[in-house]
Amino acid sequence: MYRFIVKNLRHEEDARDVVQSAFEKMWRNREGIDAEKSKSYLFTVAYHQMIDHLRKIKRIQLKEEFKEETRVVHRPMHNAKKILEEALSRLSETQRSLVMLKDYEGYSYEEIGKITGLNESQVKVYLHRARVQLKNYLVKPENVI
Amino acid sequence: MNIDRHNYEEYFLLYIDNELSVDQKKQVELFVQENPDLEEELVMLKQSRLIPDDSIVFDRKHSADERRRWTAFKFFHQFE
Repeated sequence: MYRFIVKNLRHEEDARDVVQSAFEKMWRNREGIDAEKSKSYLFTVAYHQMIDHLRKIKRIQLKEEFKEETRVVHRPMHNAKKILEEALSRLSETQRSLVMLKDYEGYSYEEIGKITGLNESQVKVYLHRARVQLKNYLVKPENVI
Repeated sequence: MNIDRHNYEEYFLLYIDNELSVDQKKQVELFVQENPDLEEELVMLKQSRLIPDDSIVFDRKHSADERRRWTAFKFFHQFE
C-alpha cells in the first residue's frame, strides 16, 4: 500500500502519513470490518485520503535521493523503467491509480471499482485507455531502446 | 468469446489485465499464433505493465517524531 501511495504522491513523508492514518482509521473501526476485507478497506481509505491530499497540495516533486536509489537498484532496466515512469506520469491521477492497483496489487476490475468508487465498466474503460496510452508512449520512435 | 482482427485489442487488454479465464487466455494465444503480425502489439502491452518495485518499503524509522507519534498511538489504544 505504501508503494502505491508513494508512487502517486511522490513524497515519502506524506505517503507514510496517509498509510498511517489509514491504519488508524481501520483500527478505530475494527469492530465493523470483516477481517478478510481488511486489505481492500485499507486501500479504499488510503486511496481517498491520497486523492484529497493530491487535490489540496498538487505537489509534483520527485525526491532526488529516491530517484538515485531506484537507478542503482535497477541499473539494467534503467531506460525501460524510466520511459515507463515518464509515460505513467502523463496519465491522469485516476488512470495512474487504476494501473497501479492492477499491476502492483493484482486487484480485479470489481475490486478496483469498490476501492475507487467507480463502476466496473468505468474501471475497464479507463484502465484500457491508460494501457493503450502507455503502450503508445513506449513504441514512440524516440523511446524505442 | 469470438476474437477476430476487429476486436482483438479488447481481448489483448483483458488478457494483460488477467481478467480472462484459462480457456479464453488460450484462445488469445492461439489467435496470436494464427496472426503473428499482431504479436508485437501484445508484447508491447505486456511490457507496459508495471513491475512492483520492491526497493520501496514502508520504513517507520525515519524520524524520532514519527516513532513518538506511533508509540503514543499504540499506548492510547491499548486501553480501548
